[in-house]
Amino acid sequence: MTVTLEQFQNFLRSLKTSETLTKELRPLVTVATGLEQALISALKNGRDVIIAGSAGGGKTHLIASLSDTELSNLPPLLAWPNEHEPTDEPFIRVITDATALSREDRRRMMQDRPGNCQAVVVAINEGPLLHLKHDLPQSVFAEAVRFLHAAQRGIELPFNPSAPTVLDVGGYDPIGNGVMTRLLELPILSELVQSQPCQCEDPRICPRKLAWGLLQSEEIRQRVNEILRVVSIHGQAVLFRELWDFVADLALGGSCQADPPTSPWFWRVFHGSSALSHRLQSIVDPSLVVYPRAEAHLWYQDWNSLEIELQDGASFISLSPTVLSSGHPSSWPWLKSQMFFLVRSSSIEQILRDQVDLQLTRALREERTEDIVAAINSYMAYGTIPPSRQMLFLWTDMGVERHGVRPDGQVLLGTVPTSRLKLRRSLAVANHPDKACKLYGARYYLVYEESQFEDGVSFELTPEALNLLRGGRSYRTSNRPHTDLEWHLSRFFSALAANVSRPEQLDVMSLNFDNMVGAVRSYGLSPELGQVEIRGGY
Amino acid sequence: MAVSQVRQLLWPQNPFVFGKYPERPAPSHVMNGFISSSLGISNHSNSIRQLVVPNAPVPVGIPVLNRADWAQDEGKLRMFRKDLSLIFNPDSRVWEKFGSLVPVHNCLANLDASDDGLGQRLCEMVRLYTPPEYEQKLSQMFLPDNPHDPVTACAMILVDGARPSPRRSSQLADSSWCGSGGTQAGQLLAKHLTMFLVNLTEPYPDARRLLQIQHLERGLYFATFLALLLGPLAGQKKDVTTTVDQIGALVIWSDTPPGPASHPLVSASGRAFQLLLDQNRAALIQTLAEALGKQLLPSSLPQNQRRLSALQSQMSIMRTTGTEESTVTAIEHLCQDAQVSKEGDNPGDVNWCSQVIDNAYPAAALTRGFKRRLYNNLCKWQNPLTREFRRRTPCRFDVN
Repeated sequence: MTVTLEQFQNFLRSLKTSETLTKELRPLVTVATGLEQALISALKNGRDVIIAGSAGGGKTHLIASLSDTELSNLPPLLAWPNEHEPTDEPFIRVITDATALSREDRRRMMQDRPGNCQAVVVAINEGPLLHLKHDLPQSVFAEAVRFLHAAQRGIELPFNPSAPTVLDVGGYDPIGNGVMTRLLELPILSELVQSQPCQCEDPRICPRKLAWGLLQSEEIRQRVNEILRVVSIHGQAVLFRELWDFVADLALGGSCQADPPTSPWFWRVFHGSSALSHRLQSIVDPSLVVYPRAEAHLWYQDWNSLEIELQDGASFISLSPTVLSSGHPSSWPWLKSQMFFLVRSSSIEQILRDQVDLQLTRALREERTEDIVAAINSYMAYGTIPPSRQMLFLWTDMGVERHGVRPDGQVLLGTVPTSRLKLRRSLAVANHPDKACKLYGARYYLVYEESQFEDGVSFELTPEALNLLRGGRSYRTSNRPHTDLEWHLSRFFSALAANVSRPEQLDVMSLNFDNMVGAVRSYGLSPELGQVEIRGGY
Repeated sequence: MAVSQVRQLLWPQNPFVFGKYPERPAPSHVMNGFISSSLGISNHSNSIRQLVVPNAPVPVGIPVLNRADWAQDEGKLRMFRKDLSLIFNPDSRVWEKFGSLVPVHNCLANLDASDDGLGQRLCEMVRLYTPPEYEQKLSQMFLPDNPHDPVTACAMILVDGARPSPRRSSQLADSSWCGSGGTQAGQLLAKHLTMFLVNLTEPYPDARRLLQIQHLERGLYFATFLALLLGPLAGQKKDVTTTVDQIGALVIWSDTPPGPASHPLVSASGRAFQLLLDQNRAALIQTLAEALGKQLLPSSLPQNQRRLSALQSQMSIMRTTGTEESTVTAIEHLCQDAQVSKEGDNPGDVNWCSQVIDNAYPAAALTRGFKRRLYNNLCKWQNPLTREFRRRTPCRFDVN
């Protein structure tokens, strides 16, 4: 095994921080994310760059991974405060981890610079960046936070040449940008798998190596990427470190000697030991996917049947008849896990069918605001009233105590026409004039842009929020995620109501949780005359 | 249990102590006590409260009903009253003769015994530490000029013709932990609690005021909880204190209560809470012993009358009504109930004080009272609520 492969293997088995990558190894494991382009372009134009994100998000790696070619057109990058800065030559100051600096150093890292410092690049966690904003409200940090927060809500503010370009690594969507497809294509990864010592009689029948060969197909790699999208729409966003943990487990985990072997990557995707595999396993069960034409042939080990419709160039890896005849409970899931990636299909949604409800996620992607509005309306009314798609109803209650059951009444603060709400996707690059560098992030927001408030009014449609909206509201208060969602909705509604609420109309919803029935009664109010008029209900 | 007599005994130093039923005061009760003490009580508050209780007799003299033809229809009126209850009584804290509405308007606020006087005491504490403009801000928040949302509009129609009468005037004793003669720790706690409430008093002119009222309601309740729990400790803390957590620190399980019993943080939070309760009780006893021991008594007083005299003197500090005779009766009741003697030569006897406190506040009742407060106040929107408090409040309440 060469030194680099050994280093790579050590990296895969480590905590996978950017510092554990050697100079030789770094270019071999780096894949294009699109963020490099934005970084280089900003630096070439002499603009400062702030790379924001959370720990493990890949901020340091982004700076360190710039290739020699990319750097050749730039002044030298010098790490502050350790590297000597010349007094006459132009240079770029780099702070690879501002979070580790003292508070005092953080405050002066961008200000105290000589005239020949062409630009400053700062990688910083979002928390310390917010502290800087509070400490220095008139600084570039405050301006950076303004751009960052707008971009996180999908709002593109006008370009400000005196403010830094902001790269939001924390909000970057590696799955949406196909990073897994590119990681699995890395030659060093394939080399590592092929060089793995193994007790198989011959590498040509080694299940791990044979299976890895399937990843030469771009369609199959894309499908691995796509299945991870299901994870990122059902929980928190996926970090780079988690992706590498996942890749490490696909390449090195499991054993070829088990019955059936647990070393092939397609098995590990669903049954591996990485956090992503565990999350995936709780959402998708490949054994439950139905392949109407192929199933009988798989069952009878008729591997060459034309009715097992595989993607072009893919060939099925069979299990030995001994394993199959032994009736091991994992044999069938093993075959179906493989089939999941190999079967010919237009999209992963086609394969998953009803296993995962992707309706609201599709609505986000296709910007169908009315579907999201209907889901929120239905949720707030406990599904007891047909939800409107044209209006968002701002239901609220005035209770503050925690009882076992939620209040059995709500009042309507107002309605917002769906046409005045927009679905926005977060941006990973902010304050960059070049449209070619535009990159989308992983967050989605429902935004009301006509607000009287400077920042607009928005509600983050997190994967968890979508799940809860789809699942429906519980009248019991013991469910913590529901409680959190309702808090965020109440704040959103309150801010919206400040813009649209009218005092002339009072709608009250009464709920009967025994029968799950809701009814709304309407009143006309005339505060100046001190009168109330009954208008009926629905 | 002679709780009211014991409270009278404790009040000069500890204005925040539980009543006979520690679980009774709810957030809306404290809020009503606070608002009506600050801004006055409406002459219509009783009839409006009665209107919001659907099964109570229909009150007379409500202008909105007089103007509405439909109010003659029993069914329609019943539905209207039910809807009012859904809006203004969401936590079911209103009954025909007492209770508290959500005071969306000052004239809806009511002052009765439901809050055990805690709202009023909070108001007195806040008044000590805020500039005079604060009451104006509070008044803007609860006396809106024009309605911008239907709930405020409905409240304004209900209170049509009502006028708030001047508030009751009372004040905290100088010797209380938050008073001018209190300890440095006590004043620090009071300042932080006040700042916390001032930050939550935001008179938005638009529909955001409804959410802000809810924030303040929770904030008032939380401040009461902290005053009850930490106040006696702060009163006993004689050394220099710079942050609130030096008065009493708590580990709090901030997920849905009660949490898995086997989780180490659940055990730690339970233990920390119990320790603080024990310290709270010990501080109450110690404060009482010191207060009685410090009473200036005539040297010629017979030795066995020293305790009775000290008790009379302590009780008279906060006496607003009643006579000296009623004080003597109260002391007799207290001693009889706690099975202690009113006579004795050592007024500051810790064992005597301990027996009195233990009798008034059995450990289980105190724990239940505090837990109930924590549960009600913090749990509906626990984590986001904590975030909201921390976002708005520069002082340090690390409740996570």
